[in-house]
Amino acid sequence: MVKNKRLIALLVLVVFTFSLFFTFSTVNCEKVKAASNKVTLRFMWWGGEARHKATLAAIQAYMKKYPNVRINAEYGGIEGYMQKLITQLVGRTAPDIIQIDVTWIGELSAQGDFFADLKTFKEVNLKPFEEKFLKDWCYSNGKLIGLPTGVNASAIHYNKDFFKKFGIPENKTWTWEDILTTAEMVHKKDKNYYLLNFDATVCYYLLKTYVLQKKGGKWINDDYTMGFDRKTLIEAFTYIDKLFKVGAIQPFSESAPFQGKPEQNPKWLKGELGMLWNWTSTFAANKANIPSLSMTMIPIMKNAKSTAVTVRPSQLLAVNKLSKNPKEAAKFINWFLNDKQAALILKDVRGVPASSTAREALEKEKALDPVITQITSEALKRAAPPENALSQNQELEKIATDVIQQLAYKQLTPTQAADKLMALYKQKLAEIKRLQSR
Amino acid sequence: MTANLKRKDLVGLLYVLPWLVGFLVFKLYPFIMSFVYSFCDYSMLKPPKFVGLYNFIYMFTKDELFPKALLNTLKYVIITVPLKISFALFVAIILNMKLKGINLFRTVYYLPSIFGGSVAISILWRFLFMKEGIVNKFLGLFGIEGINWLGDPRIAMFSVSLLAVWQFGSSMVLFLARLKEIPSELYEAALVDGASRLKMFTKITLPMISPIMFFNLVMQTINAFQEFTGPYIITGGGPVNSTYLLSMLIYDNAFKYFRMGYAAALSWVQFVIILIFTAFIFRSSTYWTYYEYDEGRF
Repeated sequence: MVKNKRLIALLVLVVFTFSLFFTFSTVNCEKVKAASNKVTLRFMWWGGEARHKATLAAIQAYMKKYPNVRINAEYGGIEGYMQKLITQLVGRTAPDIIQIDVTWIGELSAQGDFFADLKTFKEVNLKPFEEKFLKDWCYSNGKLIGLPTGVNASAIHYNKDFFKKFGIPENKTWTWEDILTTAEMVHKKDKNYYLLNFDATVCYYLLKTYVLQKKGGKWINDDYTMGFDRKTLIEAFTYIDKLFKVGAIQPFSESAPFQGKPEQNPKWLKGELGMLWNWTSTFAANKANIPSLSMTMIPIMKNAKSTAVTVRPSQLLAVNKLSKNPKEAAKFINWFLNDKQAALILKDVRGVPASSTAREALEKEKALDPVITQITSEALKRAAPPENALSQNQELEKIATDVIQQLAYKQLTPTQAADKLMALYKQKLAEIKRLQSR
Repeated sequence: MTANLKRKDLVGLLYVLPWLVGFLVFKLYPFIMSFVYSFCDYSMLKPPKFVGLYNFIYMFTKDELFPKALLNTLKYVIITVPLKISFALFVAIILNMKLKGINLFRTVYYLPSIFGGSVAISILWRFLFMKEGIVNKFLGLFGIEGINWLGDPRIAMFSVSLLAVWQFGSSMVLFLARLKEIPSELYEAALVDGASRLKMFTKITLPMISPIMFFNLVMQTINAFQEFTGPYIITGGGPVNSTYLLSMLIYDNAFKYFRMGYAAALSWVQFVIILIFTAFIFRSSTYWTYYEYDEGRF
């Protein structure tokens, strides 16, 4: 009996020891397994304070959901972002997940193959995205370079208090003529006030928009020729010149320190400037500075050949082709753009989400600013065909903004400005053609 | 003995190795490669393609911005360097006086040079000198009408230069050190001879500090030719390209348009211009610098 008892005790001990050993070993195995599954991803983006805060919160939520994934955030402003990215791409040190601008796709794709084709990943659900929107903006040579973070449209931000002060109705459909007459009225009433917060870059958008609405087609054709004629260009420059003459635009000599950053102009922040031509995606950031901010559509001519209303992705999220964990990166992008939880964290920090699931989640929670939703949907209805890469070339933009400044400083007449722009464009386009066709 | 010497050499070499590697990888190699790339089309993302002298011909015959940037840079150097050196000398002379609490003044005057021409200071400069900025508000207190410091193409270059002049500290410290070395007997003898203060300054002080003047002139000229951050942040090259410097043209071509080959060609032209100016200062210095040491020692 005693012997049996001892045997049983021994058996229990053995079983206990074994079970203990197995428990520990299983735990250890799981730990080892988890450790081996540990993935570190680098995610780089640009933006303002609100976007950084929301993106970091989304990353935290994702890491909580998938503890094996660690995401290192690399973020800052747009200034110098592209330069850093190009250097990283050349040095093969670019992050796994990269926020890029649609305007860079043409140039980058012409130079090499840097991004993974997102349509080949089963981790990515493309259904919530509008197919045409993807086709128009996100593909290059048949490859899906990135997924759109949001829908961005060109619009006019305006200060409601400013409108009230001068009795300007808010629900107005603006025409080019209206802008001129209203601006003249404003400046006549108070010399310190100007209707438009326009710098040379915004004037360049206006110039392009005016010409495209008159002429249709493209600003620069794919065969490196100008898509406009001298007569239309003179007309557009004459319109801009009138804006300066009637005091619609704050003189460049006063706004010069804020060239390229009109949203920082103290006069705009004080409410002494009424309208700023900008993207819908910047609305939230601008509204943080001016609480009475709203948005309206850009003016469209009667019988316009093109609306010239740009509707494009706010940015794209792409996966680095050299990433060691492309599937995990794609999985994160899918969650970031399509998941309801992510949508509720990110809200509209990258404009109205391009993914329908994210958009619906926000609409259900009433988390979207109704102004952004309304303007985006109106812009979508009137959207012009996407611009080609040449029309967005930075060297051509520099030429145009220089000529506009010379016009503003009365160094050139509208006719001289048109002639100068065309002569310089002709020369530069030949140079760009030489460089791109090699 | 030889083995010992070799071992010593090796140790010495090991000590300088970090610097040597840094120099070879980050200075010499880019220096040589930039020369090679100046004869190429190179976008960084694609391999470079040899185009001969094309970039240089383009620069001198077709690039509308090159002559403008070059002229602006010369203007900037001509405004900044004499202004900065004379201001540094002026302050150094004041700080050389035996005054109460002079050490505090010396520190305070050196502070701007510590802040440097950083981005933050440049942004501050923009807000100080804008039309409704603090500088104009201050002038308004004395009934002086505000000047359009940054918006007037004729004045903007001067306003931008002021930021560089404001950082006069390093030149000032060198002047101060030299001023302190001038033997007081020289001034005492001049006093006995009845020399005026101006005479003493031109006949004693200036010749005695001329080697430092020469050093400051060379360094400040090189620095001014390479200036970038201040004008880039304050005016972005505007208004109407009136402050668009050669360094900005290089930056735009390299990092905005990704024309690295052309940017390399531009920087080599900049290098040659600096070389010519420095050589001229060196040559001319034999006529206006004075060294109290005999040739064998110096």
